[in-house]
Amino acid sequence: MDRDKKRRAALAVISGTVLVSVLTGCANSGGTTSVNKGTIGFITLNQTQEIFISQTKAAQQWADKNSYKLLVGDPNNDPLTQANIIDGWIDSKQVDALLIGPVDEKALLPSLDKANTAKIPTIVSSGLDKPQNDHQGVLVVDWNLFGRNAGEALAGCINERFGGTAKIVILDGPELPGDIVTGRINGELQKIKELSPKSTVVAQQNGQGKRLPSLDIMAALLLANPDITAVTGTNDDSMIGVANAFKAAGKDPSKMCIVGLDATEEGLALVKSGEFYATVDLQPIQQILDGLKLLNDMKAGSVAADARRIVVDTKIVKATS
Amino acid sequence: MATADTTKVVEADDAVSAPVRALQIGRDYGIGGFFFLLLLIFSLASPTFLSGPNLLGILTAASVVSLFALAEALVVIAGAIDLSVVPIAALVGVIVALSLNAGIPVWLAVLIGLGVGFLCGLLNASVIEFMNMSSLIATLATLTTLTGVVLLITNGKPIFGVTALAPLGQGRTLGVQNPILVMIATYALVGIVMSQTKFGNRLLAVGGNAEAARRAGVRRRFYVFAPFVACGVISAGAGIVVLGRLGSAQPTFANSILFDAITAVALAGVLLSGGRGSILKVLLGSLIVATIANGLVLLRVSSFWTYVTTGLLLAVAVWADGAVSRAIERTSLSTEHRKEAARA
Repeated sequence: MDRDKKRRAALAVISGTVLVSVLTGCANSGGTTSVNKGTIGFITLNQTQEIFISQTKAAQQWADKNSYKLLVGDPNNDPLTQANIIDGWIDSKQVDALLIGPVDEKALLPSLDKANTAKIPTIVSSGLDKPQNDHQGVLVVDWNLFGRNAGEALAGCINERFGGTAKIVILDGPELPGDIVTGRINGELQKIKELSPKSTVVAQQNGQGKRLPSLDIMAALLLANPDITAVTGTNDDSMIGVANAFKAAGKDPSKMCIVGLDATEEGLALVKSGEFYATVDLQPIQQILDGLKLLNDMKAGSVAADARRIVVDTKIVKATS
Repeated sequence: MATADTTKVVEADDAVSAPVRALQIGRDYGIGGFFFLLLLIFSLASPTFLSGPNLLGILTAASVVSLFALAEALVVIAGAIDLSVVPIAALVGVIVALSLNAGIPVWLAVLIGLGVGFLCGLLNASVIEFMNMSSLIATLATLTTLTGVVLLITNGKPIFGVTALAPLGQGRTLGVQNPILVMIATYALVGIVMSQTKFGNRLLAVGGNAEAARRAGVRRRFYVFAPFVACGVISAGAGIVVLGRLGSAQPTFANSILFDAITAVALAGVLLSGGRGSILKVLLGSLIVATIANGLVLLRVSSFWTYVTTGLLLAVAVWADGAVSRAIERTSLSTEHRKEAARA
């Protein structure tokens, strides 16, 4: 019994020490500076996907360099959690500015109104076409255009390698509200129909935006339709699963048409090696840096409505690019 | 007179134990019947389904989920649950990938990975045993913590270009994909341990009634630690197989994997309160989950139906198992009463 008590006490001390160390570490890593220009609340869809973690890292570096403190929220792809985090920041006056990548822009409208009432400069990255009030700036990301770029690249590959006719698979998912995934898929389908009318989409399945389920789904599809030659979908990650499935089926991915989206580090490496025909770059870091710069300008003084609207550029990246 | 009485008792025995036996057969072999029904339906609906390559494809797809299900089943048989199997696999994948990239030999990197799984299982069991936490909460905490640790190590980025384990994940032996062989070997090993050793019996006993097992002289604490440690090691094995299949270490896995693993365990009739479970049926449960996913893809059914089907299956499996068990209990009690009446 005494031994148990001692063990528990020792565990409590260890846990306490770890907790204090972690919290101290977190506080130190926040990058406090001598002249603090304010706190920016930074919240994107999640903090588990490569693209958003890279954006956060870039935002943190920018904040450190420009004497801001960055408060990072993780809604884990949930619109309600995102609204709660933002409302909490505003209600408790923790933030002087906001940069938001909405999970679902429509679900976020009350929070954006609240930020406006509190006169907090806010940048909304994707989802809105123009600023809704004087304290708001927008990064216009056209997800449909993003998908159209992928569709255009895929159709180009089909025309180049298969004489304009191919059996195509689209791997969609994960199920996110808003236009982030559906915009991409609709754009892809639109361009494929327009630029490669003889091709047929033989399957549209949910790869969950992840490579392992995409690999299993693609492996099954290749058995049912061994003549599938072209695939695109939501992101690079799922297309990496597709490339592996082609390899497992004894086919060379570099002779197929695989088009990724997001231009992740691994995606770009596969474009270079030829396994991907192309990937589409949304320039995620640049758009965040542009947004933060605009936020800084808005905090310093009024910025004209036109200047508060930045259209994010997307581009197709091929091995020859 | 004595003879007549005995005959009455025997007749009563036969009469009332037949329904019990029928119910038990239903419970014991129902999952096998259901699996064959699925095979039949999909093979009629899709000409590709029963082809050798597709069946091997199903087994390959099931290999990872089945390892998670096996890991989970051992813990559930012991009367607990482990929600951290997937992040353990992710952590192990990342550590093995980093080890390989650092030039560590494959065998040692794999050993390090299995060791990390062992330590994770030990951590889970220690928290549950020494901090008096429920396994649900303890492993929920581990799930979140390990997810964070993996993201911190990798900065959210996959570690790619890991080719050293490709023979394990992508190679074949005698025409069969190696992940399938890993799955079969692991199930055979655990199956033998569970059915042929005292360990298996005692684990079932502790899961069924820990206090009674302790009074019977079973070292309860060992049987709290052992399934969690085994669960950690098997999850680590799953992480290594995924690393081999993809050639890259993933900081996060698809959300559906844990759900699929738990569904397989429930389909196998493993009593969620512990004390009952068959390793072979866990394998069948995993194959059912993989077969449904594969069959619906071949039939070009929207993948949303996979969620609907798997969710409904989970509910029906747990309900049916409970209903049959209650019916067996009722019928057995009634048998006892009749026996007593006959004796009287």
